[in-house]
Amino acid sequence: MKRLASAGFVLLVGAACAAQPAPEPLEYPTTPPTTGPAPSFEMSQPVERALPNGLRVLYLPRGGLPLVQAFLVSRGGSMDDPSDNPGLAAFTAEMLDEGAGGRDALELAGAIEQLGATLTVGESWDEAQVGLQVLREQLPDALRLMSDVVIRPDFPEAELARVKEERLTELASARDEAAVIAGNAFSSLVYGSDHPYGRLSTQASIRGIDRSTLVDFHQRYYRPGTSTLVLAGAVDASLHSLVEEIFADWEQGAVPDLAIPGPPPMPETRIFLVDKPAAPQSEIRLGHPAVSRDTPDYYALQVLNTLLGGSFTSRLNQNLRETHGYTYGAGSGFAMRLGEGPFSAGAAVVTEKTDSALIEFFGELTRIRDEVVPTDELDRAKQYLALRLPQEMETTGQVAARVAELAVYDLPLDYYDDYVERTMAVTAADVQRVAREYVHPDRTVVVVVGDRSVVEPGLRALPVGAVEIREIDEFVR
Amino acid sequence: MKRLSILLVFLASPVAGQDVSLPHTMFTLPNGLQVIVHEDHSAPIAAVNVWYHVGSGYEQPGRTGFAHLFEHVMFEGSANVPRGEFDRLLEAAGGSNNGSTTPDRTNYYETIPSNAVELALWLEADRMGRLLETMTQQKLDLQREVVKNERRQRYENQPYGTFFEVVFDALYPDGHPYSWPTIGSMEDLSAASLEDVESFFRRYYIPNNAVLVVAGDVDTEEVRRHAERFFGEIPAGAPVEKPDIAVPEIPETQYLTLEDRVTLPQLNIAWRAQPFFAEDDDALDALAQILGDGKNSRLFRRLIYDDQIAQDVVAFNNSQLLSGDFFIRVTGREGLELGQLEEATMEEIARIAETPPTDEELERVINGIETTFVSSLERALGKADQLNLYYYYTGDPDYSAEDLARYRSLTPSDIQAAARTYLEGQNRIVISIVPEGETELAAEGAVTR
Repeated sequence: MKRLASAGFVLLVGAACAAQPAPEPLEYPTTPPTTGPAPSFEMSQPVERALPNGLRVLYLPRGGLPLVQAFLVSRGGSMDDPSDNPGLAAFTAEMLDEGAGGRDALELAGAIEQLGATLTVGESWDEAQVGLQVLREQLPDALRLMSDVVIRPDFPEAELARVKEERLTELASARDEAAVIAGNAFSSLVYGSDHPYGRLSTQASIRGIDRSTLVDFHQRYYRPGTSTLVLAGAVDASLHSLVEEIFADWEQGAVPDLAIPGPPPMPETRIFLVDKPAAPQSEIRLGHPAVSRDTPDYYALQVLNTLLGGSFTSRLNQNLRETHGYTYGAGSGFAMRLGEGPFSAGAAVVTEKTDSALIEFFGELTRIRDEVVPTDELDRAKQYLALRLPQEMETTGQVAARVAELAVYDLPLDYYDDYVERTMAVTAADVQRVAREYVHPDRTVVVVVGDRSVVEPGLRALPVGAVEIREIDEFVR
Repeated sequence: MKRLSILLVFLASPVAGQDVSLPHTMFTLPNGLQVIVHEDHSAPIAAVNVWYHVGSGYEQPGRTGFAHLFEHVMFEGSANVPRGEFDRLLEAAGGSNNGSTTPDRTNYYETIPSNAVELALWLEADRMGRLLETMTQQKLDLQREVVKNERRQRYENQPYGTFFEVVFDALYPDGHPYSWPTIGSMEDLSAASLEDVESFFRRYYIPNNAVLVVAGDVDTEEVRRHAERFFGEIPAGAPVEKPDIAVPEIPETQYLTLEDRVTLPQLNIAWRAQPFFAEDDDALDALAQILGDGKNSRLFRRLIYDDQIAQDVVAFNNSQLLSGDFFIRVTGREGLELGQLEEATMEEIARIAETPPTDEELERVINGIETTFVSSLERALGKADQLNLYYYYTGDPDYSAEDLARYRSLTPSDIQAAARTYLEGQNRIVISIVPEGETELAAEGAVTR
């Protein structure tokens, strides 16, 4: 059987963490105390079971608090949106707990709250997800309610009408938020309307959703054979008969294969300026399509991003925040999905320094490709990733989410067994290679949402690419 | 259904029959630094958490925002830690760190693998004892710019972001340290000098005004040895008294209107409530949830579910050392006159003031508080900060049993009484935030109770 990690698993890191002789007692040290060997990190053994209808169930027992976190992940993420109805997956997920199993929205919410439980519904590009946090004693009742939400949502007309108005209003107010505009503009301009990642939910697409659309989408994608239930915390496999009973009548059904189109070509760098008059800061996003979660370069990319923009001491944050004071924080990331999600970097910078900030962004993106990363910087990034694993797995919710992620991306359950080893094996040459392969300052979309009257001349003077003026209405409509 | 009655144990090996507790050892160094250690060996992780008993509530007019600006400066290096090394050393050890400032206190914290506890303690000690030796104008100026950008990002460039500047000014008399937001004003941030940094450090960042908590996979005696070695030589300073400033009632109900670059109008109402852990603070917490938390809450049901005139409802009881404030924020649908929201909101408050909530309503809230309490203690850092919080506000680091008990003992009539005493008919600050040029949407105060 596959498992999450072997017992007694020890984090091994480089010489920087080797044991040192005990320091002299009493005297105040003027150099940092050396850290001894990293502690052993044991993880619980997950137990995998399956129901006759195909539902995969993963039990992750952990000692300590009488708390359970469950996640049910299924198809029905935004990648399953029809091309003419972006936002349907999100709307369907949101409607799951607006009445289910014959209880109306208020009765359902009341029943969950009465158990002291928290139930969440949501979706990402690659999954629909229902989460449940509950004290162990209340788990059976809460799990029944969770199964109603997943299997038997009622999608009542009255709730649909209300939620639709709420979403339309939310969309109308999204135009007030520079960060939202920047995010929408970035994905739209990077991927275009021919790719799911580039399509935006609009007033028109929301208006077009009716009850039968939701029922159809739910029936098509929410099926046990392509779903996984994760139960972590005060649980063990003796719960399985209960789980079987609760999820037994979830009917099987053939779920269509997922079509994942490749990203569009990105021939050159262009700057898109979206005017937000009188804004005290410019929201900057820059990047391009990059890489999917199944890349063999996963670990090298994680190390690359940690030292480029994924940690406080990363180059982008040190440069833009700690050296120049242009921003409260700058960062970057690779959004690794089933398809090739974007590489993006960004910050909110003081309006007057918008062009100066972009010069620094491009400088760092170029430098990470051109120069081999120094050893101390590389080691720090690797250790940061590897040694943080215990605190990334500190809570029941964190562990359950990690296991659910393995299910969504079809990764082995012993995935974390060699996580540390593979992270520590990344070399400076690997980092430079993946930087050159996946970071392209010469083929980048740059979005600036800010005060055009102040920032436009500076942007036009930059030697990075042509400047186009765009309107907020194009990205929030 | 009855309230959950769960026996909660925060030890690695639960023993039936024990109730909630945060077992700890507390000791004081000769220089006055208080140290609290909580051992939990369930994961190879520890948290270091230092509370300095100073926040924006200790500031003077003209230097608003200084406690928070100072928090930033604390990460810029000390005598034996060159600029940037603080973060580099912790990241290389697999640690994370941050700090935060409230009106009452400033905290600094690290979560680290348990082999790096000594490092984290030394880093905290070096900046507590030796910050000024390498302080420069450049470090201050740089963090001043970062903080100004924090202010722009979190307040100025956020819809409705100017609310907090206006509301505290209206809630508290001129010069009261709760009358300005923790982030401070741009003008005062500009005025902060290197001399301010030095005098603030000498006055407040002294061992006898700090409490160090270490929680997680640690050995208490080892922590004691490290604490004595690293912090023991730092000289004590003149004792700092917690502020004891009278908080008058809100003298009269006041209506204010703000125009902002927003699409939806928003109604905010603020009342004076109670200090942290004072009488009725718990009932006000529960009242906030009964009014605004979840689909069955009174305001969600009335304004979003039934009348469908609001987009969003928030009610919260913000309790602090000297006083508390109770806030209700309702974001209306596009073009809605906020007087309508105000009238419906005040009607719902009057309903609770007239008739206690049902047993079921209160049970839902208490059960949620129980679960939230348990899950908040999953993290070493959560427990460390809780020990510090309890100590600052109650004098007892392990106030957890008493804390849960105060909620468990609430009755529906306590909630009714809180609504009557603090909200219904009481003076309040009503702030309408409307789209630019649409001041006609503002609540006009037609509804008076």
